[in-house]
Amino acid sequence: MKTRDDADLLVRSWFAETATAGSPDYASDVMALVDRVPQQRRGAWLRAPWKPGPAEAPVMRAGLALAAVGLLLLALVGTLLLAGARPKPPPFKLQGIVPVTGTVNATFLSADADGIWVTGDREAIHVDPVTNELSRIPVPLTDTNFTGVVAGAGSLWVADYDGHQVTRLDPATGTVQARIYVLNPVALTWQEGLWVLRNKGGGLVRIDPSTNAIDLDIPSVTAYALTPGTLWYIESAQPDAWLVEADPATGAVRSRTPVPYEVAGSMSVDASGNVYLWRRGITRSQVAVIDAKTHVVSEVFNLMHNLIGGITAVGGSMWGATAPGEDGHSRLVELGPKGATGREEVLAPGLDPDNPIVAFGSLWIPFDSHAALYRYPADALAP
Amino acid sequence: MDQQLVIRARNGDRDAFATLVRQHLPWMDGVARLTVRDPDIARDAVQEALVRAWRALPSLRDPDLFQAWLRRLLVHACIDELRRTRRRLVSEVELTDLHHPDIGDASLSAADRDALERAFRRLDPVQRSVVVLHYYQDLTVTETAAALEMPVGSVKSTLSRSRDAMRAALEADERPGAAFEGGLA
Repeated sequence: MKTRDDADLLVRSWFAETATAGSPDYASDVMALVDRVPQQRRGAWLRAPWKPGPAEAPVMRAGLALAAVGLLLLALVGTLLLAGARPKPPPFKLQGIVPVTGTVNATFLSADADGIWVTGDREAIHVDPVTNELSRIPVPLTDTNFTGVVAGAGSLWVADYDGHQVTRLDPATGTVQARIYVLNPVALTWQEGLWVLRNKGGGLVRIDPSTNAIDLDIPSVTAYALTPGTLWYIESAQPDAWLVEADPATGAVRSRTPVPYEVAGSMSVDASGNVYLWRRGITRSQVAVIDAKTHVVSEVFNLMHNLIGGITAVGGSMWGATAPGEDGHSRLVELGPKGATGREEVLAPGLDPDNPIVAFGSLWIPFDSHAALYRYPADALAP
Repeated sequence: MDQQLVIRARNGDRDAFATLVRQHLPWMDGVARLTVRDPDIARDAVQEALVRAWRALPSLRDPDLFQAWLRRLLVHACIDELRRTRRRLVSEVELTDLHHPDIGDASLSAADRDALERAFRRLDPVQRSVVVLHYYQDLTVTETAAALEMPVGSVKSTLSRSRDAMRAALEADERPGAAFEGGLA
């Protein structure tokens, strides 16, 4: 039996040994970031507004009127030209908030033909995208870490992180149909089989639904993306990293492209097949784009944002989802092969846009602490 | 010394701020490592706190409160990051496990380390911060409350619950046949 003092002493000793792993050597990195950031000015000094004198006022008024007429004409011509060129995207406004009651773990989403699947507290929740009606299936979990739910082959597949298994369930009854061992399973995707990433140590596996067995196991994979007919994945071993293109049916490698290690954290693919690689940081994230046809790797570009929600293909564009800034708002930042395009959309206050998905014409973002899904129009993010 | 440096940095002197960064980096890195249990995330949290400090430094009225203010920024950066950790799992795979230095302390057995690690990882972000500030930074309950912007009573109860949880984990491991349980950072 340990007394409170014994336990205190052990905690202090443990902290002392684990905190002193070496002296930190990144002061110069901090200053490099500081050099890009201006200090906020307290009580900023402002010039008194200029006012025209009595002699200048009529001239000013005439000039302003002329300028206003000119601007109106310009706007009219511009609008007519643009209207003929392409339809204007609708405004980016919150379409709705779908309550996912009874859970604080609405974290991971996926879509099937009928709706959205959401991870909940020891249950998978299905959301009807038309009526917002919820249906629930109990999920047997070892602990509370429920890291993915996907529908496929008439079953529901759920990732039990601490139980190191993927469980196959009957979506009608919740009956367990199979359990497959996968170490710390995350990132479930259905494409002619179930694809699962091992979170600790890496590695991508595919489970064959006809046998409930792993029929493809690619070690050292740290991120992957599937498009019809192509499997992309990242292999990394610091300081090197590669983007690998493979045949998803056999796993046979088609190409292997060296990529900068500093971006080889996560990946997504745009509508043209170009691959965006990124690694996020709290103060900045780094991104590079690999051309699908030539495999030419772009320069690494820095985004002074924490890309907490990663990069998602929406409506033909690529959008980075940032963590809330000092104003409490997260943002979607449009990206191109050379960096941010300058187009941004603001999300609801406090919303941390982790794990967004695009389905049923909307961008769905889980807001787990509010037990809700936030829904935005995908076509408003079209190029 | 620090006071003059803070005043200079507050007036936009980057060299003065660089000196402050070098001075404060070791304890900040230690607090962040202990709290988030991942050296890369810890480094990010420290960077975030320092960049925010630089931006907002002109609003700091009393230079003597610089360290306490910095601590508050750091703790909040760590808590924000921890709250996101679980959700980040889908996109960021860990290739290496936690950074454990090989130095050993005679008073700590491997089983104790294991039990403490698991118990600590089960604490929520605020509980972790309270424990680190109290046990590693040796802050009083009042100072811890100030850093976390929490009432003193809440810090006392949080500390008590966290301590009990860690002690229970140590005792559980003393029982024969205690099974390994996994945990998330």
